[in-house]
Amino acid sequence: MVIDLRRCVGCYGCQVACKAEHVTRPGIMWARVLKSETGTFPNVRRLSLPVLCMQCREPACLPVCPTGATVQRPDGIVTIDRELCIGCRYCMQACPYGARYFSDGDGAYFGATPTPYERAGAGEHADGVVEKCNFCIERVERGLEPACVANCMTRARVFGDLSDPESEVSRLVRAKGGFQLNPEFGTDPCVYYLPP
Amino acid sequence: MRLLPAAVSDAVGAMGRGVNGQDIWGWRVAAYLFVSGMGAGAYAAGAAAEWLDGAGAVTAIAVGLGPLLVGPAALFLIGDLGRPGGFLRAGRRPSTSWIARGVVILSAFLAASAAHAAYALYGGPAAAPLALSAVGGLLALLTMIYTGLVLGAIRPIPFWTTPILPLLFAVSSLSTGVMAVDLVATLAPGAPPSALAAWRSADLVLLALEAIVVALYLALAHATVAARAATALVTRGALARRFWGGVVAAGLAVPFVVQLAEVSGALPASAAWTALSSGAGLAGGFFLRQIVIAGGVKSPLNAAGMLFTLPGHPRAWQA
Repeated sequence: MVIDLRRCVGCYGCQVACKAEHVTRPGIMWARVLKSETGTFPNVRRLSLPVLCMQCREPACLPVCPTGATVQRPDGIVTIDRELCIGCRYCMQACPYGARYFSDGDGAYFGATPTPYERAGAGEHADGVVEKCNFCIERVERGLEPACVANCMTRARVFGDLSDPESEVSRLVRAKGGFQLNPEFGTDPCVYYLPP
Repeated sequence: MRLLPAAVSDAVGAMGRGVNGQDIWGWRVAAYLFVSGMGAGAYAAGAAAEWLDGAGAVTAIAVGLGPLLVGPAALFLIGDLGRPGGFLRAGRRPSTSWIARGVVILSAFLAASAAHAAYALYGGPAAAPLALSAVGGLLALLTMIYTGLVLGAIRPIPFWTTPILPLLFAVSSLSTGVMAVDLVATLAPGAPPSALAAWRSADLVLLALEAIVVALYLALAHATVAARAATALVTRGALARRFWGGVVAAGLAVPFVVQLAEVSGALPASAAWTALSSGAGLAGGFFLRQIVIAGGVKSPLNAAGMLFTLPGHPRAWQA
């Protein structure tokens, strides 16, 4: 995936689209927008940084998992087997991108009783385990783009196959100086950012 | 005069002021580190004393404290899991995960130290204690230091990825272990064993060493923004009271001064003084683990020269 920081206006649309797609519980954001500001008025600079699971080629979360619950699929997507996960949260510590969340099971968005919508999406979540973005496997396998890509109003996000040098994502990374977040951690993320 | 580029010094300022350590692991992990370290330290000191001096009442207490403390300590970790019932699965991936290796190390240590304690109680073949203390002592050492490697495997927290941390845990474990033995032996019925003077002298050396290692740990954590933010958090931020009062004053200064006075004869031998020095020293051992855990500041994300501090997790499951 490629995210163009010049196009992103920080509207949080991806964060909300992800919530709508995966019905994540309160406080859990598989996709989220971070904001940063430096300088003193009137000489300031602001930037929005949309983040999600980077689906790293060398995931920091994978080797630390003591149970083998975290696995890397042949297509590169990193997933969590919630039957094996014991909720030790070691992977949350190891992930440099804060992409993983602990699901402790209490709380619905509107009071104690979940809405019909929350009940319908409850099957994707379990109590006492860690969860994270899965690049919308269920959509990608049907030939759709991930929800955060399809719903980005400025078309800041492009989804594609980085292993194909002719794909649009590969071309954008090459042509516009795409970079990975914090490469010093050696994770080799599959999400690239285009400079603002 | 600005010594740092504006963006960098702003970032240090921003991280230094409102910065928080990680909120993923809390007091249960700190309690495990403290209690398991104390148990392994007591056992290791007892095994070493057996090698040097032969078995006695104090070494029996020390050896027994190993399994008696490390076993229950593991319950803190199990209780911290999202799914405590699945704790046996934690040992499935020792090839890559330090938590899984820890399960192996802990199980082996518990078996060896329990066998040693049973020998101390019931007796057995003459060659057994030396073999047991060699194997058990090595496993005790691993129990003390592997936790530093669990934390050290977490790349984005520079406060933890330092070779000093396993050393710090080992020295503090030995010292708190000796103090636990001192406390139990003094409060046990009957006259306090005379061998305790040697244990207190050993603890003086350990406490001095620990003070040096703590100073090195904090002095050398400065290579990155997150490391500087962590030392600021510990020495002058939200954790400063626990560090200066709990670790430095209660954990190091009080036991050092009291034990020095006891060993040199300036203080009359009294259970109250031992309770004070060991009690304060043990509390300091817990506070040390707590400042290490709570001081784990995660490195900010860096996009095009702008730093983004990762937000905390809204649910505090150690509440």
